[in-house]
Amino acid sequence: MHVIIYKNDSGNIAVVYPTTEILQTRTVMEVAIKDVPAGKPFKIIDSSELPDAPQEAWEIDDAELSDGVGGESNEFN
Amino acid sequence: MSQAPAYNPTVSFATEETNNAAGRSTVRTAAVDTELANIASSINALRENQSKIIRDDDKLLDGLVEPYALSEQTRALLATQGGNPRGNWQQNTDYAYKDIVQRNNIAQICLTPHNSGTVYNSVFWLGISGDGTSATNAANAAASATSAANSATTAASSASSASTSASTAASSASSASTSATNAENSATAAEAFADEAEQFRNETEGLINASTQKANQSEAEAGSNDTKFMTPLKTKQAIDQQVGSANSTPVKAALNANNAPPIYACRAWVNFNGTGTVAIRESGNVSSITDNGTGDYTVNFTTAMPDANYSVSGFSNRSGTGVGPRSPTFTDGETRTASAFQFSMITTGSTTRVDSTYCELQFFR
Repeated sequence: MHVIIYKNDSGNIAVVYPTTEILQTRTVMEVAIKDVPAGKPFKIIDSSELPDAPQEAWEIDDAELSDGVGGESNEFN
Repeated sequence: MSQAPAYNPTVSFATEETNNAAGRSTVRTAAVDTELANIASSINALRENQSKIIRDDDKLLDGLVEPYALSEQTRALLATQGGNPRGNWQQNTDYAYKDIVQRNNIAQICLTPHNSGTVYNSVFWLGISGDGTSATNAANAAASATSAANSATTAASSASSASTSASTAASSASSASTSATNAENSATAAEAFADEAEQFRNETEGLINASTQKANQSEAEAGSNDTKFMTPLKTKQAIDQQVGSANSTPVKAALNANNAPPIYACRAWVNFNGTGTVAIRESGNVSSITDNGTGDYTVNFTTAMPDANYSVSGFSNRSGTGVGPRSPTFTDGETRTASAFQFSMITTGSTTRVDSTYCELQFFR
């Protein structure tokens, strides 16, 4: 399962989990652009890559968030 | 071989007896012998000549008859086989074998190819007719016959082709006739069908237009009459009446929402496991769940709400070792927009966010 990660305003890493229903009609990239806050870079990874540690302890280089940027609109095109 | 000599009696023994020739009435034997000798000579000569003509089996002797011995008509007939009539003999003309010409009213056939030069040379020619007409006529007739035969062959071929063409044409005509007949039958059938359709249409239109047969609006909305027709307008009126609004009686009945209070729909919902890697069990109108941190989630709507003034209903579970039930809570500073709703899962009596196995939320608007 693919998930989307980005850094929120507090600097913690947030994880976006697309629902099964949306993946029947939309791609993970489309969900990322819609549901990641506007202007925040994100990366799409497999959920198995998420660390087995408290989420607040996760870290990632900004350069790794290179798959896209959250869109201005919160609706699908 | 010369011809056998003719036999002419020279002594009449009766006369001599009457006249007592030589003073005696007895036969002069010498004279008789001479006579008999003459007869024998003549007969023997005839026999010799005959042996040169007739075989012992009375057939004509082999190889006896030569072309020149044939009659003029026979020679003319033979000579024209394969002959080529060339008209009158001409000077300085090339002639080929079997070319047939006329010269001095005598038909002649060429024996050796040559150029005639200025002087006629009989060595190259064989006369085949006395007056020159029969052979030429025969040759012309033969040529005409050949030409006629060729023409006949050509005509026969043409006739055959014509026959084939005629047959093909006849076949095509037959097919065309069949097609025409079929087309005519189809046209007739189509015309009959059109007449029947027109009649049916008129009858149907008459029935529909009959006020007693067409349902009015009240009848359409009531939906109790089972004999009258429904027009599109009446059908729409009936549907609007029956299920035109969420609060129509049939809709409420279908949803078991009887009596007066109206019904309002849930516009989005989700059920997920928020511990560890989030696992969304099922959802409706939710595109994703954002795990912002421990006990901190955001529900993102697939289709945004009209505004942020929706009402949220939530449910969670109590941990087996926990100190109190958890409940979804909207905390100041968290996001609440038409497209997303952020909430925290907090244990009752505490301010600490915790992940919860069951995070269930419904959104009404």
